[in-house]
Amino acid sequence: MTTRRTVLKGLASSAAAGLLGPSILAKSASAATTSQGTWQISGSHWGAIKALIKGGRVAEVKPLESDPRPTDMIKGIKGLIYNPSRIKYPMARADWLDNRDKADRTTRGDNRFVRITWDEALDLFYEELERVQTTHGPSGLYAGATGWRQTGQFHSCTNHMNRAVGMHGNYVKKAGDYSTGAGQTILPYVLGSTEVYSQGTSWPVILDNSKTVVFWANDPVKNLQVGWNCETHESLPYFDDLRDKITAGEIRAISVDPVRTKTQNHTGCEQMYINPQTDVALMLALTHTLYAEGLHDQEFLDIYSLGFEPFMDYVTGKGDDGIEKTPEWAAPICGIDADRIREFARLLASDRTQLIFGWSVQRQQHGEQPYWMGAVLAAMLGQIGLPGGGISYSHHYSGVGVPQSGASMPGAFPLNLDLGKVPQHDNSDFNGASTVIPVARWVDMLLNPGGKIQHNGHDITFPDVKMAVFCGCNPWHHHQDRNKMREAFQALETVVTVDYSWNATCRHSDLVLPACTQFERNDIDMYGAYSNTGIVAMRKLVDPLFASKTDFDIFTGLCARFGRDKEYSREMNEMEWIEALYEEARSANGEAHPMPPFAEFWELGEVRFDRGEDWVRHAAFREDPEINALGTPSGFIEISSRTIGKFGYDDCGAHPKWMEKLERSHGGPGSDEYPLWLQSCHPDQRLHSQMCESDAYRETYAVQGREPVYISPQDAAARGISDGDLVRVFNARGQLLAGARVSEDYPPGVIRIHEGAWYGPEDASIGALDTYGDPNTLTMDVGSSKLAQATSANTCLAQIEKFEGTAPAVTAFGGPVEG
Amino acid sequence: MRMRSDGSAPPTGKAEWLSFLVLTLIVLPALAVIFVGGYGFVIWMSQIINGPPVVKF
Amino acid sequence: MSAKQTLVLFWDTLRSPPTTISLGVLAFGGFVTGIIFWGGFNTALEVTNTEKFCISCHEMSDNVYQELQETVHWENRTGVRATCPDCHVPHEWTNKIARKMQASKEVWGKIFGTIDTREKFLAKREELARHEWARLEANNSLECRNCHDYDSMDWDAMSDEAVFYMQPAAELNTGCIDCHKGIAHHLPEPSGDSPVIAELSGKAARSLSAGEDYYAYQPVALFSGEDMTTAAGNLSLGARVQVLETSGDTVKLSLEAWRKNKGYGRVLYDQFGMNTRVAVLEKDAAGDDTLVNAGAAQTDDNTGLDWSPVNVTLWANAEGFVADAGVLWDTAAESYASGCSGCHAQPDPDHFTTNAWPALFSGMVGFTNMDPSEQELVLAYLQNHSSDHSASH
Repeated sequence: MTTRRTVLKGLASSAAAGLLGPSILAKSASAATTSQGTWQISGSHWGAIKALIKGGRVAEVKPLESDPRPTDMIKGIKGLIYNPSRIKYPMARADWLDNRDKADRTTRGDNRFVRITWDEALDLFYEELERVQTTHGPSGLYAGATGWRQTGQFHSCTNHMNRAVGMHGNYVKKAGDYSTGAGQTILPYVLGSTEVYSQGTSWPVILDNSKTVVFWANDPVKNLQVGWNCETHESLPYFDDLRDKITAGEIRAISVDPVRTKTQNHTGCEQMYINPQTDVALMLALTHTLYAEGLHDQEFLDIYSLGFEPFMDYVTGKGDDGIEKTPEWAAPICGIDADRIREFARLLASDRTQLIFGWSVQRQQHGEQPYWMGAVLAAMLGQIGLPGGGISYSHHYSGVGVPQSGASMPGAFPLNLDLGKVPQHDNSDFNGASTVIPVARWVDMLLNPGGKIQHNGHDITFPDVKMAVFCGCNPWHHHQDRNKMREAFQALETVVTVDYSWNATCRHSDLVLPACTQFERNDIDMYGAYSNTGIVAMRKLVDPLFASKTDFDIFTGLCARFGRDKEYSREMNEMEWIEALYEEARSANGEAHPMPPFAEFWELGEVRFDRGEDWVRHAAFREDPEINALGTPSGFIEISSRTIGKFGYDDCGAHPKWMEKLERSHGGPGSDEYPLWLQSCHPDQRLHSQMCESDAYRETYAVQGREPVYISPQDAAARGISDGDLVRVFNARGQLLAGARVSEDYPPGVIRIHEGAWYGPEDASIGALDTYGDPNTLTMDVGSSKLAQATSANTCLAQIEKFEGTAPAVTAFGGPVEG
Repeated sequence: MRMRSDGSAPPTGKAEWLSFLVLTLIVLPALAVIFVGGYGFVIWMSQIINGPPVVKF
Repeated sequence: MSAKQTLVLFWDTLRSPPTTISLGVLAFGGFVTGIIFWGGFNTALEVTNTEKFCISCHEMSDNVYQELQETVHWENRTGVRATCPDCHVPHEWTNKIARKMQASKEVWGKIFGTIDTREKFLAKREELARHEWARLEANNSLECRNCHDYDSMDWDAMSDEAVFYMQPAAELNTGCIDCHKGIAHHLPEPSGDSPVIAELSGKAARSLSAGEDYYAYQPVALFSGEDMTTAAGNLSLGARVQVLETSGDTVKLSLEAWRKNKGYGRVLYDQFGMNTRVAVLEKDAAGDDTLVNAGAAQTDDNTGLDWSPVNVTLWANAEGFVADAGVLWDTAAESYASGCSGCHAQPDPDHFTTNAWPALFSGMVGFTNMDPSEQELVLAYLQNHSSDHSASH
């Protein structure tokens, strides 16, 4: 929303601009034309790129020269633009087109679609919104789901969809996300901030001060390849420095993980193997040792925390369960020798220790607990707020740990309605149902309208949703339990999806609208989501392919159906918006972070700011806990939380606890039937499901055209599986085909399929074999607890067998069957 | 006709001319300036109390 | 002839009908000198109403005049120039005369060198600018409108962006200065003030009255005594205070708040168990029973911490307050909606509790361009409109 203030700022800057005058550069830097073609600068989740444009096509993509550690995935970008899965035209599900809300929904997912015109498509979209708002009211529409969209601050498709649909009427929204749902809910009670998306202590500070660095279920070298905005990869060279310090014996780094991670292989750090899902048991034993041996920092706990005693009663066996959480108690659960646990505790307490947690451990049942326990462990070590000490939950994400320049970044296209405007259907009657749903529970919502669940101290009543709209969001990759989703989707009368490639969400939709990729439109993006290193111009490389359009054009067209397109676009075009976003940042930065006028920036392709100051997380709190209180209910670190305790939840109590999971490998529940723990962490060669459709690049890692499943040599041998074999992975919830990758990095009992593999069911039936290897065909769809109701994707057991016979063709790619 | 203050002779032509010139060239202009300035000052003071002049379009 | 005799003679001459001068000469002479006087008066007035006169003082010519020359009001493609009095002197006679009298203050300043250096000018600029803004806001930008008029604007000749901003302003008949501050001279240095605070300062209470409640829109410095020498802390944005006494520019305030009985009790909160900050005190002031009067402690069941009600009596300058909290919250709501929707739909304030907001806000605010004051104001808004304050949740 532009306010009077921003106008004021803008005017101040235009005056300054008039003073300086646009500088005419002799040579254009962002579009250099050579005999081979024209090289143009753009940005992406994978970093800033240069693309060679030749004959109206992108011929080659390479990383920007200044990228210190370009990701291999840059090679997949060309295939992202040109691939057979691109949505070419607006399409409608054949049966739905004829019968609309009375259509047969059991055939949804059979992938049969017919081509329609843009006018027809937008009319249908509008008519369905109108029908649902009129017949069912706002509780009949779910449009809250959002995902990793393509980069670009103006075309950010989430904002476009929310603004346009919001101009028409109200709708059911979501809370939280699939990446950090449990963490972002529990940590505000414990450390007073969501932490998971917070800037962390600068890497140089860690490298200079830490003596021990612990990567807990964390693989930053894999995950730092991608960023929420245009990624700079400035964080990755620090892992080379870390490797050197480990080699020189200056830092001990330990990866607490069942799997030998990419980070471990890169830095040569040590591994503390742990049985999957048993992190809380290990941490309890560590706190037991610290306490028993007097290694904990009682003074820190007295000044900076509350509720240590009730927690310690639980650890020392004076709690309700009467069990003392000794290393001997934890050893069989965690698969770690008791003495090794004690040694580890002593090591942590011996000198400056930085704990760095990944997100995987909170994407499981009771995922709140390991994060809470991490904070308790850090509080007992007493180093929170010291340089190179304390705890982080974000150093693997979007360049966290690179000091922030302090410059203001361009804003985005407004997600909201303009001030004072109301929707066309200004109806806020949700029939008594909740307006916001914890995101991972929306499939339960479809299956159980009117049902009630508890969530973070509130009661949620599920609305009766009839229509869903998705834009730049692929729930058929990020949600769990495909076959449950197939059943749930029969409750939906209409599903509209706007995307650029024909993923499984399109397959299960009724109306599919083709957006163009980010490389087919002009935009602007921040360079470095946390470092604010600069601003990058995303110049259009080629015109939108086929009949695709920008999200801006699509939603302007939708708003025209109810006469509010001018309000939607503010009668500004793409370049006017981009210039306005740039100039707003420019005036906010003023003299402190000078930026050239827009025209010059657009020619240069990027603007960079000076590197920021090193920074230490929680240092202000440590310096003065009263004035710089945490955002917890008490203002202090809450080792026990009375607030949570008063909710009375059986699966998340007043202090962290070890709780058995519904499914757990290595002797846990369900492991006799399905002995292998399936981890579905973030991929190494995709961004979630983005780029899976990039054919040539996928072939560099796929096995017989299928998604790889990583397996230990022992488990492979026991099943007669060799590297490169086609295998069937299955459990009671589903089955998939994958290609075996036998690797020493994996211990027995652990297999991995990266999330984001496209779902390619053999047919429309529930239980159909997934022909490509989407791990969420197998995962369990239960809430982490009544507190966060987050995804529990990593609580999943499966069995694997060599696939015999003729393998069905992969159906995940190549778009719909026409007619 | 009223008596003169001291019962003296009527003014001479010279005194009349002098008085006329003093009045028109000095006294009245000075009074006008003081009056206008005073008026402006009163407005200023009223603005301090009531705020600056408000104009609605 | 004594002076007294001269005056008596003069007086008698005035009281008597002329004996030697004809009525015609008197009338004609009076008429002519009247014309000459009024002409001379107006000429003199107009001389003081020229740019040349204005910049005859180096205070004007070295500072604001130089800045004007960088702007479109100095030089443009149509060759129309706005000079100092066009904008700064009312055109209507009465107000013009009042403005001329006000210039006596400027003469005073000139004589005593109030702004005779660039540094002094820069230090004063904000105060000077606020006077002009207040005047133009009150007269709805009258001097601008002597040349510019919404009715005369050709929307088709404007860029789309200009139309986007200008048309709603025309519909609301918004005064020009509301948006176009700094159009002819540089804006005051932000002096740590954020644009949000600067905007709120335009709505500040002009004078404070004893017995009334006011809300801080900027961090208001507090003092332990009426002499205003011992710093006692700061009011937080959104804090509500009651004015007990006013004396010149200073006011004696009373603050009803709560504090946690852990630490030094420096941070004051608005309600029991609610982490909505209203003031941060210096350690000395927090421990001074004569300033801080604490009641019986109560235990907060949600944290186990003891809280005590406190009544704090302190002094402050009568600046930085608004009479209506709604002004604060409207501004904050606008900032929240624009600042927090870049990445996701911003949750409704009443979706979370007062004590949950600080954590959620601090976790995400790094992604916005909000300055520290704006952050404090927005957080106060969210906490004051949380589910604890709303009947619907």
